[in-house]
Amino acid sequence: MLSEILTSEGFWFWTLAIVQSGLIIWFVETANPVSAAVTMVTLIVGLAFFPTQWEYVGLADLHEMPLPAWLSHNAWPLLAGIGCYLFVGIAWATFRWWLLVREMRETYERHKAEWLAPGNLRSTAALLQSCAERCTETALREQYQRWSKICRMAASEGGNRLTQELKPVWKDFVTNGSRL
Amino acid sequence: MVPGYDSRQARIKFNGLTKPDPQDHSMQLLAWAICWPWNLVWTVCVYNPFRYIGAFFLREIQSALFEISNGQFSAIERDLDLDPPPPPFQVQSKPASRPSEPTIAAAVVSTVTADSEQLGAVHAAAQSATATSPVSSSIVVGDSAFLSQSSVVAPTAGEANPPSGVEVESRAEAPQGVSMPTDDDIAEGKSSESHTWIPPEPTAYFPMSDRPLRALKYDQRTPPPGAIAPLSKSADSAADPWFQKQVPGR
Repeated sequence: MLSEILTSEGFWFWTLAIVQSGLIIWFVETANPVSAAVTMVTLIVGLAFFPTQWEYVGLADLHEMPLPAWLSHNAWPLLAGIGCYLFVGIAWATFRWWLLVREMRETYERHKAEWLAPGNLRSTAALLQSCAERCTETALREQYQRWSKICRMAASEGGNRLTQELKPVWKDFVTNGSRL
Repeated sequence: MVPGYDSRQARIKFNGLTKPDPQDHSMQLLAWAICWPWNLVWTVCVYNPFRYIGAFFLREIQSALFEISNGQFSAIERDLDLDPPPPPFQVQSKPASRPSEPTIAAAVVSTVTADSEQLGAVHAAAQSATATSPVSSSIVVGDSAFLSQSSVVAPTAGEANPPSGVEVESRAEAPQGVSMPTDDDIAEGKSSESHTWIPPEPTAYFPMSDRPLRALKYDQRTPPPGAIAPLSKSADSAADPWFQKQVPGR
């Protein structure tokens, strides 16, 4: 049973297709279009080694005529197919870009909501107060104290709202998180 | 985790948040476009964009249902609302301020399009208009000349006529609901006070509230706010035929 599976052409064809698909996904996720394209071409060329599987991918005519004749016979459908493929690819890339930016925004909103929670604002106020006590620079110490007071007031008012006074603290937290 | 987001450099999870630039992600976009079938499968399996689409339609449906509830229950809420209606809005006449400042009733902008040989005549007309009125200005740019003149000073009939072969397009900018005087109307009124008429200010409204907005017109017996001193002399303004013609109810 196992030997039959291992010696069957279909098994190796689909194994190759799955492995190469995984490679393509990996290359796409790591923003490597050249490697992804090369892998895709090798996947297509690799079909030549599995003639029994051609009919499953719509290439049954290759059994009856050589590749150049098949290419010349199906030139326009091939070109149209490539054009449609690229067009859909551009549309998909646009949608995928929207998805990426949306994901970034959601991440930002999630972290903002976490930061604006009253408990987190209180702990931020305590952290800022301790920073102010340790700080030797007068201007920075006053700024920390002022921010600590703002965070305490925001927490006492219920939090969950980015007020105009909280914005400098939030911006500092986003850009220089380690200082907080 | 957001693709392209380098967590190794982040001290806080989303440190260094910057607006994504497509040029910086060109390789990523190219990979998405070339290998879109694989990326589609991966995206659907991992990122599940259907949650956004589903959430969008859910919000839209909820909003529509809420609007239906509001529409059907607005009358019931009005019946059960025990709060008194807001007091009528008191229109306070503004003090007669800035009497010395010139008041521009409306601006008349004329755009003159001329051929290159006609530009000289157009420019001369513009300069004469500027010399006549201190609040007039003219600009000649390329093949076009722009005349800007306020209606405080009435142009004479000769100045209003453009040179022959010159297409003049006049446009008057005025508050809605106020009919602007034509050149002939201005020329009819010999009194200089007819040119100092100020159109009434837009109708006052109640401040924003959950109640429907209601308009409140001015008391016709009092002069409109912002009127300058000569206009407040009712005897003179009542004798002005143009003033009576332009303000209904006077």
